[in-house]
Amino acid sequence: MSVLNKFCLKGKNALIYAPQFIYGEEIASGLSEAGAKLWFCGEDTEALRLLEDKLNSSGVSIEGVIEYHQGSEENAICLVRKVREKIGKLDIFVDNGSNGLLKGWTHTYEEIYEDLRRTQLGLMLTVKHIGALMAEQDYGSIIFISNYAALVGCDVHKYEDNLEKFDEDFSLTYGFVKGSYVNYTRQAAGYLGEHNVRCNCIAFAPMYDEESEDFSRAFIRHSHLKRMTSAEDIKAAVVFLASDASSYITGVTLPVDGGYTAK
Amino acid sequence: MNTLDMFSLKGKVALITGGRTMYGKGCSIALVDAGAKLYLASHSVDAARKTAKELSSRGSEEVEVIEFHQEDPKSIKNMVDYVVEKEGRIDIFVNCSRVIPRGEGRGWFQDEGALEWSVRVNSAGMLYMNMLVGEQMIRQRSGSIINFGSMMGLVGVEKHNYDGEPAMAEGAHSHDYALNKSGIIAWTRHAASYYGRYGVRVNTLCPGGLASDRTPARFSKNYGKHTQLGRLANEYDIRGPLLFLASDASAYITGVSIPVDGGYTCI
Repeated sequence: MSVLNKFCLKGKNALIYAPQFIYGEEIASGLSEAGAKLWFCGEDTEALRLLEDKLNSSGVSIEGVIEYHQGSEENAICLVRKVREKIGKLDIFVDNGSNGLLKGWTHTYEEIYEDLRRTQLGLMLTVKHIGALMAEQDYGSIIFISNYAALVGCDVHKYEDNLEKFDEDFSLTYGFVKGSYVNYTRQAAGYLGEHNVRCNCIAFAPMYDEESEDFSRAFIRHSHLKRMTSAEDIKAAVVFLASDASSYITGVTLPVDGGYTAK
Repeated sequence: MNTLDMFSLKGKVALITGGRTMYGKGCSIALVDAGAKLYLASHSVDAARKTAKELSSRGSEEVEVIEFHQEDPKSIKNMVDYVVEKEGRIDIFVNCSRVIPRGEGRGWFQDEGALEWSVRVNSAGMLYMNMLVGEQMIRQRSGSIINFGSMMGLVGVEKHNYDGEPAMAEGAHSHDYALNKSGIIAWTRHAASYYGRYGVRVNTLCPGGLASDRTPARFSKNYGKHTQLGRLANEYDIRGPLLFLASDASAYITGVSIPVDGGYTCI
């Protein structure tokens, strides 16, 4: 088999949770371009439909949208039931859900709890049940989308001309949630490995148009490749970890950050 | 200054959660032996008083007990307010408490109740108490915060450690522990970024398995083979690393997570 065929996702079914958030559009495009059939799931079905329309207009077709309110066992079981009915064999699951986290460092306990309940409790229950489904199939690739904040802290010097923005932006929960993926990936990989289900994580750097000029300039100055993450970087990394090209890779967190965290 | 004096905690006020048993007790002993005034926050007040009495006999200051329930934000706030009211400052905060999730199912089969409880107590409670202590340390423009990660926040499960111990093996693949400990390790770097300009340091200890009277011999042997020092941790192993991070000996160290695991994670 040609090595290029290893990256091909023809005949594979992929489900993306919360693709309406940053990186989701590129993840969907990449998986589709590589030949996978795509489904979306998430709470905000209106946002998912809007993304579906947008992608359709650029030639990416979405097979279906499944309403899924992450955060309860009952809903996770229901998701798996719908996956069986609508998709059948699920080869690829991408979690893109840890977004919209609190900004700022000082919060009430209730705010902190709600942020973590929504992201972490939901994640664990989803992976427990999707993982079980893939274990039955004896095949699957689970990909967690995190970002470079999982690997390094925030550089205060990026904000040195604007410390007020630093205080406003800096999140009490962000680093905790993003970082929790790193070893959860290893833990899930450890349990699911003997069922031929792989679990990996991608730590993306920000994209250029998501950040201010000042932030982007400071980020680029610190990175080896002197640019922010491009759409192609996102597509290629996801396809690699989704496909059989990475069939012996599990439990890793892959930085896709131009070398930002390599120094 | 004499190098050994840099490790002294004389005149410092320390607050510890979970400092009554296991690793936490080792940390309490180190803080008291180094001369700190120690506040021991625990949900088991009677048992904590016994520990405090024992600790007080080692040091020059009496160890005080604060009733503390990590699942209750009011209790967390009362704990911090109490020390600040009594001492006007908190120089060292050590958080070793971790509540075992209340719910059904073990390991990979933990149910929603268990996972929700862990998110509520071990994640949200941990961030909230750090935030409140951090506010006080910002006011002081100094302080050292030490959380407990784990070697299980750095690596996944080695199944062969549990050979011959099926009950232990069943619990090893829990969802919440790896997620929580991994989050603490990453959060340490972010907190160090946030608090650095206020002179507040934030670090994490990542210990390996601790030997106790109840540790099965076969597990000890299996686990020992996976470490470079050939053994589980003993009650003394945590004291030195804790005191290093708590004291001015580590004045230029912030945002790190130190494995105290006999080399478990180096291979």
